[in-house]
Amino acid sequence: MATLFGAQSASASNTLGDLKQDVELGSPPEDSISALAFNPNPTDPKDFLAVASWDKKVRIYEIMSNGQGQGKAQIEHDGPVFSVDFFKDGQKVISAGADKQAKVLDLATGQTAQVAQHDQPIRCVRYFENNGTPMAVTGSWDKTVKYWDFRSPQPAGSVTCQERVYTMDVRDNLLVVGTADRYINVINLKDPSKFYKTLQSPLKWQTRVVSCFTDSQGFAIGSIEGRCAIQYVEEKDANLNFSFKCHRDAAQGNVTNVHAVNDISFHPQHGTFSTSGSDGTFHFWDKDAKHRLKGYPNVGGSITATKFNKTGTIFAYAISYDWSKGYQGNTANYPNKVMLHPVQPDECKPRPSVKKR
Amino acid sequence: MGKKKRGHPDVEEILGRPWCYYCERDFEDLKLLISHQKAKHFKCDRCGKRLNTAGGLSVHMNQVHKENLTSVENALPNRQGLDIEIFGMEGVPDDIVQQHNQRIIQNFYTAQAERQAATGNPPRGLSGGQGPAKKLKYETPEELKQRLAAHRAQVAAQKAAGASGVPPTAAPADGQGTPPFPPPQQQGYPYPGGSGAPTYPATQTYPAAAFPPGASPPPGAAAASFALPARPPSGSAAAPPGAAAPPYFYNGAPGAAPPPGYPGGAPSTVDELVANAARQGAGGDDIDQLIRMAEAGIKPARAQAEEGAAAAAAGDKKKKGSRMVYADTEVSPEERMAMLPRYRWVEGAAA
Repeated sequence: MATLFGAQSASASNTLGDLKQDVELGSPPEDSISALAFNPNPTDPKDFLAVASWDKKVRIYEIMSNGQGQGKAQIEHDGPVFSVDFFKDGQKVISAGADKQAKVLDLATGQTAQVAQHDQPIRCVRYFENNGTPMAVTGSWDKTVKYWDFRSPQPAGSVTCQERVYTMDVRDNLLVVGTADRYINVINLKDPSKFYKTLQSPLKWQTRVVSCFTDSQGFAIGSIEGRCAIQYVEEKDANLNFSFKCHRDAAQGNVTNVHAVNDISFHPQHGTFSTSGSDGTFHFWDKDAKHRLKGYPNVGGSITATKFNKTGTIFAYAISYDWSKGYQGNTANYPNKVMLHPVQPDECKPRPSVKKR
Repeated sequence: MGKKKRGHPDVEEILGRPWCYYCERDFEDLKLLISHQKAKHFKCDRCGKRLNTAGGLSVHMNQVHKENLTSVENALPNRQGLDIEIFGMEGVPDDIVQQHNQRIIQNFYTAQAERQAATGNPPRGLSGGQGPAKKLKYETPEELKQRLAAHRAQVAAQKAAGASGVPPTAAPADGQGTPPFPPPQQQGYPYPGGSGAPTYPATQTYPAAAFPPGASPPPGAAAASFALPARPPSGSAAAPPGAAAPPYFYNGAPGAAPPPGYPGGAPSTVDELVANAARQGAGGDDIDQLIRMAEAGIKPARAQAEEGAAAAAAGDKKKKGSRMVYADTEVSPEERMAMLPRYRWVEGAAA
């Protein structure tokens, strides 16, 4: 176990990554950052990064080759923005937030249109394709998940969840919805009107984030109690499920501070993943080898959102206040920025299988 | 292969086991130890090659991966150094060996003593007749009488306390000015083999089991009774001698305010409190009881209010000593944040 959780022991020298080459994104949002999204279109040579923020705006930056970002467009909401996603072709951006709406921005024309409406703030929005038709799915604190086809102001479908939707992720036909009270609903997007499977989170504490594997065979769950679970959808893979601890401070006396896992992002190529937490660190993991690949020192503030770009060469992480320490923690000089971490070839690559020799 | 040894090996066997310098684990034989070291301490974390020694691994890292090995993996904090060449049991410094052996011996005897106290079995090589065989619990008729008298006195005192509302200064017959829970020998109980069983190591202790049977009113209770009103025997006799009095003891102190930093979260303590308060019903006076009930009733509620939903967390969290920075089980941080006036979005205002 010591290898998996890297008890800051002897191996630290090899597994501790450095942040020296990380670049700060210029002109960041003015308030806490809630979500990040990269342009997923593999044919587009450019990288666009969308940053959703509590300052009611989504900013879209083009990432230059030198690592600097340049503002390209923005979406304005009437309330804090909670979630953002790119269309598959990278030409449109959809975002949603506290104003109970989801909006689509067409990057080519600069036009913004409202496409979805809920009764309560929309916590998550994801783009997906149903038989080639572009659609979006929204999950809200009104306990519903709704599907939108952009042609009608009415939802194309709707599913009611047990509780407020806290997190969602889509990969291929797999939609995973994490709600309050630790419910996890798995939906097959070929049959989006019903739950393919419902389970109670294997973690004992509030679900913070779910994120689908790149092969859509399963998903990772992060909880507020510094723990991640790897969960496969199909019962036959159940023996591969496991959970592990992360984002915990070194024990001070007999007390260990445990931080929330704020975001989990999968590397598009290697299938390894990152976790980031309120403790201000992020780590790269290999779920198959059950190894931590790399850990990074504290970045100076909670990491609220992370994302890999389409090729997995850039790892973007947002440092801002996430309310984990309540009102008192929110000080004026709390860092609020997006950092771009150039991913070294070996950082996220699964290590060759370590066989006994 | 001989017959598999059952139960507990003797100290020579344990001392003879090979053990790992880096993590102090011991093994059945040297082969296992060496493979342990190769797997846990001398394995290259780049390619998985298992080397024989730390030096070998260092050279391998240097030549193959162009990296510098600075410390031995999975080693105890003070044993990570590369300067000592360890292979199996070879190369372990003498002082470390001494330390290790001492630790093993000490652990062995403590474990043995505990076992003997628990089972009442005689030490090895001694037949049941000699040595401290199972501690038979018997009392002479005089002692029985004495104990009965003491018990009666206490019951009477309790009754008196219940009627008059005055904290009893219960004076059991044998009340001496000794500290609470004097060792049994002082009571003159015949204690077979209790003193000076020659084979006993110095660390031998007589746990609560060795206490005279149902020493109901602990003789010292008389002396302590100013701080402690008459308690039903079940309560006080259960308190292990020498154990720090749990906080709830003080709740019984008449007139004394409960300590402010009273830990309200630990359910076990609260349970005890409730149980005690209930048991105490016959004992303490009415006000005393009221206070106790109030404490028992209010404490958990207050704890819940303070810690919010995290109170439930306290249960299993406290044992591990971890503290969740965000411990709200009901509401996500985003929802809390969205409730702030700064972020609250009102439909009318936007239009």
